[in-house]
Amino acid sequence: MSDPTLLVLASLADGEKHGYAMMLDIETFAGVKLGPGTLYGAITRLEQQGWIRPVNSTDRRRPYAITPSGRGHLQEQLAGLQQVVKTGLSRLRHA
Amino acid sequence: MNRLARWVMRLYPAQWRARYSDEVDALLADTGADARTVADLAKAGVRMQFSTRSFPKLAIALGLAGLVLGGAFSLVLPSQYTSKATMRITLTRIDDTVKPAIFNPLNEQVLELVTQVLSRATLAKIIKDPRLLLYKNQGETLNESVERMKNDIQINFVAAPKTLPRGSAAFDVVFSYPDRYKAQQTVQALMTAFNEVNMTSQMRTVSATDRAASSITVLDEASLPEVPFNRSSIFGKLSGLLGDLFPAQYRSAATLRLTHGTPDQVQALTSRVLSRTNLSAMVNDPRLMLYRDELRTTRLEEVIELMKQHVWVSLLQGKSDSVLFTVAFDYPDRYKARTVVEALTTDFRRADSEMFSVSAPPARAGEILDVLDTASLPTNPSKPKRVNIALAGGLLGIILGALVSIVRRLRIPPAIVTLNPING
Repeated sequence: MSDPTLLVLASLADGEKHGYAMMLDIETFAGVKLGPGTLYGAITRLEQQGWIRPVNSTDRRRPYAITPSGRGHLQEQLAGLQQVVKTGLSRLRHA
Repeated sequence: MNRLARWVMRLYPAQWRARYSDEVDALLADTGADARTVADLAKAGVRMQFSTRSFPKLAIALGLAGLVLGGAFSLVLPSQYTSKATMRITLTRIDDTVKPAIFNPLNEQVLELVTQVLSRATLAKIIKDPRLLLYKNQGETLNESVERMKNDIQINFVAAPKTLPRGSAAFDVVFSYPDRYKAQQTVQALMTAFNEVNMTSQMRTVSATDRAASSITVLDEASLPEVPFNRSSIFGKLSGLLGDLFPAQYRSAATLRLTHGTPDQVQALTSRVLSRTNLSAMVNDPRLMLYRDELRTTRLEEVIELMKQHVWVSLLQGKSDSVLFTVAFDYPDRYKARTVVEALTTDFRRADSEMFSVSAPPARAGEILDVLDTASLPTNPSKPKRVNIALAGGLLGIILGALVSIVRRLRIPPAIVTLNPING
């Protein structure tokens, strides 16, 4: 799974995080190191879609939170992925 | 590297920078930047520029505008009609000892005829023909009209059809002009010129054979250059701004033919003509007054070497029994450039008569010219290619649209931020 938008949504699923925290989190759970351009490209797209929102902060490290529609989108995507994973594993076993 | 990474963020749209650059700055402060970070930022920035909505809109709008402007521009351009005739050249005697892979006598004959037909004298005669009066409203000198006409003429050596007998080949004579009748008449005049030149050439060959010696004929006399040759390109024009550092140089040239001669003979003649004695006489000629400034400060030997650098002798084509070559001279005064080329031409002829006047020449193959296809009367203009020009305009518009879109977004003031507001 290397879609940065999905990785960002997954990272924000357990609570709000700023950019650097998201980078570290994604590297930990997915083993993918996102560059700042890729990360903020994904944040921009997600924010425009209304799937995440910036949280007011006085710090330059602005946190982001997942919105209910973002949560729904993530669930939908993960369910699709789960189906793919399940099918793939099952076919590997019977091959 | 952090500074470079911040600089690369200029690639992003201004609106985006106004909204996110502080956050990315803070992120870079936490992570530090390396080459990979910079590349990642650059890639994402360019992608963002091209994915924003106004880019395709602007590109399409300017593309359409370019299409319309290109179309309008092409309509303003005068139409050019192209007339074409096909001629056949046949050698009356084929030399079987010569292998065609090494030497194609037909190509040589056509090239020689073409050089003579496209000479200043022949073209000037056609231009001034009272029935044609070509380029009369262009407000240019005869020399300029001749040069323009050379560009409008094409001689295409076409593959000989299988029906032609051995030793024959065909070539097209093509001319483009705004008046279709004149285009046709000019092609007819060029065909007549081919026949005249061919007949004169054969008569001269017979007389040269009787004389039993090599001889130099002037195919194209020394030209009077209109513009300095080192000012014709953009770089030349720029160097012209530097004035005396790069003085203007005019190049005059003449085309000569050494009949019954070889390239080695031309080489020997060149050595004689460019000898120290000969050039020294030319430099000291009071009528020419060459290199006056240089002679005040430099020795004569060095001036002669300088002059040698300004003289060009180039072989155009070598045949079994004759050689075409050009003699050119570069000088800041165009009249003197021409006079020197005339003097060099005379010297070549004199040197030839002194050095190679005894050897008997081989008989030369004659040639017959006839018309395979008469000059066509064009019905539709061949130029300008209006569709192509309009499409080029459209493409240019799209490229311009992309550039304007990028530049515009880089310069939009941060006040116009339309991204989602920040909620608490």
